[in-house]
Amino acid sequence: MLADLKALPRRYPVFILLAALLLAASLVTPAILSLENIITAIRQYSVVGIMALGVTFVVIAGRVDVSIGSLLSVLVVVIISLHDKVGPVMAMCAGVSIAVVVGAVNGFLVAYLRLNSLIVTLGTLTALQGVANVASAGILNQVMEPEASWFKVFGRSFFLNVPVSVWIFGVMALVSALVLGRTNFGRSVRAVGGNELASVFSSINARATIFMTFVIASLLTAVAAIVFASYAMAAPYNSGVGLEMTVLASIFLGGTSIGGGVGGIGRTVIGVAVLAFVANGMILVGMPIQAQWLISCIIIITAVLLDTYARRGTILA
Amino acid sequence: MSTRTAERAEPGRRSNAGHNIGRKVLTGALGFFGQSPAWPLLVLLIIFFMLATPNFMTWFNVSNLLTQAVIIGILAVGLTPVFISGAVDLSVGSVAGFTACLLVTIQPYIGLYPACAFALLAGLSIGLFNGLLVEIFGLNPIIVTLAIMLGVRSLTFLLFGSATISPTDDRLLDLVGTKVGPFTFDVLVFLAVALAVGLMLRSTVHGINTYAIGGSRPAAEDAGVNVTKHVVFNFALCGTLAGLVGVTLVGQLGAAAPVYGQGYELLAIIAVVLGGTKLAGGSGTVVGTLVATGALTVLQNGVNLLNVDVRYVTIIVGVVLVLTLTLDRLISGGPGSSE
Amino acid sequence: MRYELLSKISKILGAMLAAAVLTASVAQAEDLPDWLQGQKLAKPLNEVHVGFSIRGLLGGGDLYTAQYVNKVKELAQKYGVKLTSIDAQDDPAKQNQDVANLMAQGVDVVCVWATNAKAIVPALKKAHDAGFKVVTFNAVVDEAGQKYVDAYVGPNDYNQSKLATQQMFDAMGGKGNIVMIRAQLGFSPSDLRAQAVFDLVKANPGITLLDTQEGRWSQVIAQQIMENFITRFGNKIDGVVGADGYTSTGSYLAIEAARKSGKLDPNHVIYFADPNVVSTSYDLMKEGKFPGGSTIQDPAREGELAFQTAVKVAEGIQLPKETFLPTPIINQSNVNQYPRPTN
Repeated sequence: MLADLKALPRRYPVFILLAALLLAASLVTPAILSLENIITAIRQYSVVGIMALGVTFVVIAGRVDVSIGSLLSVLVVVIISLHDKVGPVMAMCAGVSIAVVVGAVNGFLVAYLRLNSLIVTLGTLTALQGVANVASAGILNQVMEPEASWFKVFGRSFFLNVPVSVWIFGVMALVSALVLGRTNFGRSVRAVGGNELASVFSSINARATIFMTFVIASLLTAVAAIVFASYAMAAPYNSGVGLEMTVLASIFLGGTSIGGGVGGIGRTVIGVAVLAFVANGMILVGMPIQAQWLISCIIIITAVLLDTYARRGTILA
Repeated sequence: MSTRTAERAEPGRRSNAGHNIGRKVLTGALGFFGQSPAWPLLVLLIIFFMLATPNFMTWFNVSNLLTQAVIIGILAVGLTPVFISGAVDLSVGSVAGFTACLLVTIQPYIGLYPACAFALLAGLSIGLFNGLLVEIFGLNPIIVTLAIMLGVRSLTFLLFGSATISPTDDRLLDLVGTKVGPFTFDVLVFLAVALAVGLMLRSTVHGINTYAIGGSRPAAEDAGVNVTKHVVFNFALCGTLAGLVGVTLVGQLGAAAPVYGQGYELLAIIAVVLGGTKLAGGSGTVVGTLVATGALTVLQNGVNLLNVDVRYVTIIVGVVLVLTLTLDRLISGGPGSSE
Repeated sequence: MRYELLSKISKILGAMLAAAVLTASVAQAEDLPDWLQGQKLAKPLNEVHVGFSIRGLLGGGDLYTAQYVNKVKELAQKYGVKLTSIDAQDDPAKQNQDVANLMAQGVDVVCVWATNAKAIVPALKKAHDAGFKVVTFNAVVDEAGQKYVDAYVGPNDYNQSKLATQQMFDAMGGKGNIVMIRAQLGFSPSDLRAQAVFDLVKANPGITLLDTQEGRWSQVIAQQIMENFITRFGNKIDGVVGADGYTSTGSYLAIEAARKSGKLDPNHVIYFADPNVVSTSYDLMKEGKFPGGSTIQDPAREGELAFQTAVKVAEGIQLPKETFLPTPIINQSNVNQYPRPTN
């Protein structure tokens, strides 16, 4: 156990980077290390985090999914606009069903028709954003009495002083890690990502596995949408725009590569945490808006370099 | 398509020249058209819009179409060699915005044409940087160029402020708008660039090596190819062309804003892949990219002319993209991994 | 007897017919909406083709634009005017192309809601030189382009922002610390609104601007930014200037949550200002939770004015070069005089 802990920094150098950043930032703004702020930062990124968990499966299997952002937009619009009409339970069911359908479409096109996943999900992204626009019909869909509905529990309530959304992220992360690490399905995902041809020979149904990863990604996006909708209780039609970049960035930041069967939930969680603290920290430290992306860029490259060094033992290719 | 068979004249014939040229052209043409799923799409779209509205096939609109294809087209042409070698570059949109602002900012100090050259140089440097990061440190190009995309955009805002800047010298605007025959100058530059890159890929050693590297990197290395040199060159070229797009934007719009180019990389990537270039590398042509760019431009243009509700346009573009790829896969069948 | 009846009936019928025809022709003349009364029309309304290049629905979460465009479409349908509208997705290069596309369709008037005041100028010049009439809406275009424009209709973003923010400063007694959550950099209305705030801060030495962040007209993003501001500045914040009502609403939610959890002193008053009241911020005002002030910029009204202007210009009617949309101030003391915004 202790040996495992000692190996942690070497295996997860991004962890060290995160710690260094936090320390540096705390010199300027001590408030950044307060428990309250840490929880706030994670809460602000819990939606991204939940989505990233799902996409991790896709990436380990050697594919990408960029449609999740637009899917979130659609789901949030659907859930919010249905909430007042048919109640939160039905609204959530509707959201989940749509997510499953979209995931199935993506999965079918990529796994069975063997189309390129980047392009397919780019197409789904474009189509879904259009759907979100049409569905929202140019009005701000709102829940009229947010405090009166039990739906608010996902995004606005606290349990043991920690926001429920953070709990959800944590639980989902745990479940995902278990599925990836301890089930046959999880092993198939790694096998397919590592060497697809070989996996087929070991009688793994590669196509079904890849298909499932896309469904998982969409399902987790649905969970994220529920959290988001509960938090905002309002649905602009573009809630998810650009989130796919943040999700992918956090996955890569954590050290997971596309394919190769390498990577994991833990890495993704760390990646999400880094981005969460960078975003949070930059505002706290008073960085001008313009500098924020530059900082993110430097951090991402440094993190990837560190991770490569840790894995390869040398910084050069 | 790249194999060359020795020609032997049949006995009793003075020369096979005419015969063989005819056959070559036909085979070439068929191979040509068959390579990219964008050809049937382009033809279908043109016919559809021609029938749907009289405003489509006018000289004015065709001229518009060509100008509209330039920006994404040059980016896509620059991306093609990078894709063929098995990499990607997501930073091109940000580079275009950066170089546009750079151009108008330094133009009052060193003159218009030196400023243009400087902008191209900046694009080249960023592309070079990308290539070096990918090759020397062996980093994943998706994540590297994603980070650079963010960083360059941020740098643009930091260095040039958030306001739109106008150049003090408007000659670029006039130059770009000058017509040579039915084409405006920027369209000519676009075609010239496409021709140059296409020739580079088909006929130079560098081009052949690019395909080889994309096909199988270990095999290329074993064969003694200096993989790093070629990959870095393609990145640098891609960056330079992104710089050219920045210059063109200033020429078309007469001003530069730090938000220029946002989202262009996605459109350019769609054009490249729709044109038949695989994301995994090893195949693809500039012609395919051009056709796909044309198809996308026609789609956008036609849908605008038909006054389709703005909100449905995005749905249509997304669905058309997926449908085209699906149909292409179903028709050309074939196994082969999708990555 | 029968003939008399018949001739009476036919006379009555004839009179009715005549009356009907007369009424119809009078009605025709009165079919002209009141904003076109007394004007000579170059061509009947249903032959007018209006071309509209909108800056972007997909830009920054802008429901204002959606309402505006919906109104224009509704009016076009009502009067039988042909309308072509293209969305530039906040891309200056695309808007350039969109204007060219409108020209290709031979519209009677090119209406532009520019996403970038300077970059739109070549497109305006092209349209003007080709003989098209040009009207600009909402976003003012650059000096260099004014000579190509036949009319402008829209709010005066700078003044609006000044009006709203001044209310807040007055309510604060000219002293205190404020934070600003503005919309995206590079978009004229956003830049103008922010500039007004910067200028006002300079003119009021008692007010300090602690920081500015980008909120992109989004309630959710504003809420998150405000949370971070609160962590950073705590009770030092006396006022929040927002890009619009959604921004103010988001800030309010963050402040409320912080007050509940004890991070902020519940007795410490925080003022709000934004140039664009919306349904949610209106509700806050009614509940007395919005000290400070806002202004009304009604997207439907602006859309209506835009449509009328476009048609008038298409029909060759002379108009003043600039028509500013009235944007009255609204705050807790006069909120009951105005209806709840629909956006």
